Amino acid sequence: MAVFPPTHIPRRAPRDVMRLARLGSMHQCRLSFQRVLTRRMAAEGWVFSRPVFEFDAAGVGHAVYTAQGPERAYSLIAFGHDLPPEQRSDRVIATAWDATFTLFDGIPTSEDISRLAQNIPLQEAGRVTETEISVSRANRSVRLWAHFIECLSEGRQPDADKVDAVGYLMRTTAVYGSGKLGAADYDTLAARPEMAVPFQAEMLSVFLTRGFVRDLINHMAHAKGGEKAVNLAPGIAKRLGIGNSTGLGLAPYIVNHPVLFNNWIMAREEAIARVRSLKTATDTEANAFEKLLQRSQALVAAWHTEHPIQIVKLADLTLDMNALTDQVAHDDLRTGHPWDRLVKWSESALSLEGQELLASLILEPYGELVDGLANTMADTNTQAFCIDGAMSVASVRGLIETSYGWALPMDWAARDNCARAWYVSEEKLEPRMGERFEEPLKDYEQPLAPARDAAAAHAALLDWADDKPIAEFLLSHPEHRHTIRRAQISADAPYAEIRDNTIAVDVLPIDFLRCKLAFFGATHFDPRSDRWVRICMYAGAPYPQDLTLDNADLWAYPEVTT
Amino acid sequence: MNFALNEVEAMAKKASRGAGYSWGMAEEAAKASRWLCANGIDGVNALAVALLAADGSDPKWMVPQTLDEEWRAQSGTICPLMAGATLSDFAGVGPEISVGIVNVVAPILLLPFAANAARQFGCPVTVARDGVLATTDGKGLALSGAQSAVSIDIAPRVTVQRTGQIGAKNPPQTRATPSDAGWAALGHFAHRTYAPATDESRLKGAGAGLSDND
Repeated sequence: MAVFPPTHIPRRAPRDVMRLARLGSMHQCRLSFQRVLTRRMAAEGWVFSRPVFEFDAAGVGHAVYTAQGPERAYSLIAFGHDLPPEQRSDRVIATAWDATFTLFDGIPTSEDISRLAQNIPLQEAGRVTETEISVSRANRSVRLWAHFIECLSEGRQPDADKVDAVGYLMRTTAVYGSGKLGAADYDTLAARPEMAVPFQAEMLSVFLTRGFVRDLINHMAHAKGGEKAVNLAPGIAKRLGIGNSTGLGLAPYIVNHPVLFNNWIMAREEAIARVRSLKTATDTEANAFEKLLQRSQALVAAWHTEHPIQIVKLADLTLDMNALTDQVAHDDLRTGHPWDRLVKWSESALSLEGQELLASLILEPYGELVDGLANTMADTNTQAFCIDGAMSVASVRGLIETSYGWALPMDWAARDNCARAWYVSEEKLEPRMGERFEEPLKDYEQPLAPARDAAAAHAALLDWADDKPIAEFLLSHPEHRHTIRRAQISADAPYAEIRDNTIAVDVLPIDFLRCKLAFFGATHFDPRSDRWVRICMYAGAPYPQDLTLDNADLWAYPEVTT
Repeated sequence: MNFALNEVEAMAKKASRGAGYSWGMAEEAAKASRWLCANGIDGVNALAVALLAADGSDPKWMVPQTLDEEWRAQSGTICPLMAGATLSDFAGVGPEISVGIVNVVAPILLLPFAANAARQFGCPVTVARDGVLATTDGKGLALSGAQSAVSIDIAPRVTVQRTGQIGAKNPPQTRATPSDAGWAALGHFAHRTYAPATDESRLKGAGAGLSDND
């Protein structure tokens, strides 16, 4: 077992970390689920193959991509469709897609494929079984797809500018896992080492999907151009990621999974504290950081957005990168707690985007200190759900005050403080956010305003004697039960609760999305509205067959020549 | 049709909310249904029975009024979710749990809560009534008696107490195979939690509106 130096610099305080503006400025890091997966597969020598690839010239057909690990195999089954343009929509209400996928547990038989061909193209309208782990779909980037087919079929490579402006040939619009549509429950997979870190199956599905997209564009270009056609150059293929378009459906997740969310944040904060506590850095470590800082700058420079909020944040981040580069140039980074010094400097010198980028970046030279923390990120504490009825009223009040002290004096009847209401639409059974005072939503509100609910429970608890067990309160007040549960969970999960108002007039759901997607390892966040974001996954990563120990980890940072 | 346990949990939570329970109780009902299914009992159907009994009345009327040796509710029948949550909540409070619960609806739903109590006690808990004995050690479930009696709709009296041992447990299940009627009943209740779509909410609620055909 590794022995770590004492961490004398504490983890950052939840009251600072858990603000939505900061969570909405998070960046990928060593603990991001995509990187955890590629590191593991490279270290274990996973073998990738494509046993089936049967497509016509229009891209209609199916393929199987198999990833063979040390104990088990997983297969992506991909179906290609000929989608009329008017049906192409990223929204969850779509009913047809350019391609649909499932991650199969093992290697599918032809019977499995026949069964899945009847269901996977239907997505939510289909049904899968325990042998399927995820269900997903993707649409082409129309502009880029047409350009690629045209160029490659004529024997040319596509324009680099166009590649960089979009960044992907297909974007997924949903990746369902954990029992959705009848797929395997996460519980049935959690004991497998390769599935112990959250979302590994979904990340594997996307990793294999990227390989499929490259193969499909090559196939269709050759079908069109015949002997003139060329394959996509490896250098361009490597820069392409898989896009993803994510709407509100994902936003409630981090509120609805407080233990899991705590574990993600806690792991990263512990990693940051460990690195900040290092008294000195070696030349190798300092040089690695400086090199990746340069590569981060290239990553930021290649990040495009049209959304006014992100445009401002990106401009600030660009200034931050310059300031950080200057600061590093004047700092030896070797002695006197160099990483802590940089982080402290950033707190007043950089925007939240810059601060969080730096917090992720200082982890890079320290795989041995950081990477093991990925194993603490799943939610294995099944006991956390069970309320401890013997806990005193005073203790519960104290827990609420710790997480929600800021929310207790607020006027929760004021319109701006409760302008929004989260609900689930009848039409598509997906989470939505509406205007409380303009739409008839009161009877349909989801429990996604924990701060408001905490204030209400706290007020009710003031009438109860300190030493009464909370069980007695709950017998009279079942309406506060979800809040009492959250309060007790927070005792062991200090980062479980967002320290902001999730129903305020100015709440930005894209902050929720950004945080979760950063933990996935996404880059190039491009909000399309205040509640809808496009991202890129695996841009710069090796393709499955090219995965090695050397390229498995730092691919998220573009290569730069100096 | 068989379902993932997560599907059962999600459906049960929405259905319980739709039937009028608080969100916190709906979470309990969801975990309880799932727990039963994971232990080979149709927790979906049991929950459907409980929700049908509670529908239209304030669940507060189905709460144990006093926590003496015999629990009774003001409405005459006791809700297994409210009684179960009370059982679980007070497991760590009182010196001893040994109670009779009178007129309890879908009594099998007490078991997941008895399991919570068993984990807190560190010893198995038995839920007994005429002809059926169910014991849980917190994780698994052992049943004795007529299988047909397991899923009755209402029991005149059920006793809950600690016990020393547990017999052969039901094999754990990774899928649920609820009755069609039970699943449909939960779907009916769940539907009440969905806001009817309007043109405005279609556009604004999801925040889209830009073309995706790019």
